[in-house]
Amino acid sequence: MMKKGQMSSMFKYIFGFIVGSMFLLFFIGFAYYYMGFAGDVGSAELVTVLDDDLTAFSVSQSAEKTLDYNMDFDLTISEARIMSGGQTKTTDKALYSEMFLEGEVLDVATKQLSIPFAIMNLFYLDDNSILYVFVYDDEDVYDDISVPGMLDPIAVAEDELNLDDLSLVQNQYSKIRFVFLTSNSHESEISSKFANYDILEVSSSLEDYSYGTVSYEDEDVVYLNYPLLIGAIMAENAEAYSYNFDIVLSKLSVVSGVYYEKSKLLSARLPECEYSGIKTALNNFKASLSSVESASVFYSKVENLDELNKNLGGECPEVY
Amino acid sequence: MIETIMIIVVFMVVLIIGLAFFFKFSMSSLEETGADLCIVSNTVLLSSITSMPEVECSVNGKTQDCIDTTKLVVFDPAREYGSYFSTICKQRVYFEDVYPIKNEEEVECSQGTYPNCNLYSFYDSDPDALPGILISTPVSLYYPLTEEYTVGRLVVEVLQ
Repeated sequence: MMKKGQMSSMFKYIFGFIVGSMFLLFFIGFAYYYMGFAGDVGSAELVTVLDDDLTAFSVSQSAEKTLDYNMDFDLTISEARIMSGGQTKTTDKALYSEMFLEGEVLDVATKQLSIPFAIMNLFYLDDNSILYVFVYDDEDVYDDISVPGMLDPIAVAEDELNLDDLSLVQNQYSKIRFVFLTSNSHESEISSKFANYDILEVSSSLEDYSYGTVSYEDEDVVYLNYPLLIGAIMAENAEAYSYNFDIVLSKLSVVSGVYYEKSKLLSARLPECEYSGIKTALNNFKASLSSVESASVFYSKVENLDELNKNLGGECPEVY
Repeated sequence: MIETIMIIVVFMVVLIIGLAFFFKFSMSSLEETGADLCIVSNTVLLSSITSMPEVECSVNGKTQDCIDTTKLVVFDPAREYGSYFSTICKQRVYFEDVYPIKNEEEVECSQGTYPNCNLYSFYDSDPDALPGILISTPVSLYYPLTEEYTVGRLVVEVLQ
């Protein structure tokens, strides 16, 4: 018989097992918590550093580079937010890319948008998962667009488009995106030969295609100058493009406001100069930004502003 | 039985103290990372402000490497954008006209005092906050009315 306060060996083993299991579970839980915590910190750093890299990149008027953070990244880009691992960085930048980007390196390009004065830099992000195929009937138009080389696009004249050859490489990409800088007469052939594809049709009333319309599968959008056309080509869909287009218009409104105020200041300080024309034009231009539905109408306003600004100079400084 | 429980209690106390130290150091390391990111963000900001179309010089739509002082006078980022700079910490931003010296005293620039002034307040996310680290870069300030250039300084004060 055991004395008072003594435990049987069996009880000691059970007790030790239970307490040991509790400690083990605690440490396993702690390890998982810490891994998650470290992952969150890493993700927060990634989205912050990426936003900073883009900000630093915006100093260039046109540039491309590859970002390598020595880690596999898994990014979601949506509505001016950069997200990774549950961490979100809200940005004021216009970002054009697929919604989900993953890989080891991220290709980034930027171009300054000027309509007619510099507005902001647009950013293009790519993980090389999409093959871009440009189909044109005038090569000069394709050259004028100046598509970022990081996309490694295929550009081909309409009469030389060989869909059989292209279909052989489609398995190397998540999607093939066809961009027609001419009318599309291959729709049925494409749908029969490709599993995952998009077709975008670009149309313009201008010979150089600098302002116009991009038709997605179910919606048309307006673009104003080549950087926005590239944005439309790289955006996930019409909705994603339109969200960034609103950011651009909002920034354009602010910059137009700055030039309007500047023209008022110049007009007040230099009464011998004629600023009333450009003042009125800038005010009307700013007011018209609430709804941009026609690229050609917008283009005529830009041309008018440019003309008025060019008439200044010498003793009467230009507004922009 | 009591000895076993005592050992567990002592072990738990040691474990809790250990974890407390661990989290304390983790937190300070995290704060250090945050402070580093803040400095990096503001250094990036410093270089990007000079190329903002809202303040950068331009001639016939082409941007130039200088700051248009008339734009500084008429543009208020806080009014236009609210919390404009997407850095992870607060900052105060201003331009100083350094050379040639116009005034011995600091004169805030506004439409009334321009161009006989030397301080262009640009952005202040918290007017009551104390200045912390100060970073700056030289800039060329352009005066369109007289077509003159002066030497200026763009200053970003990281607020505490």
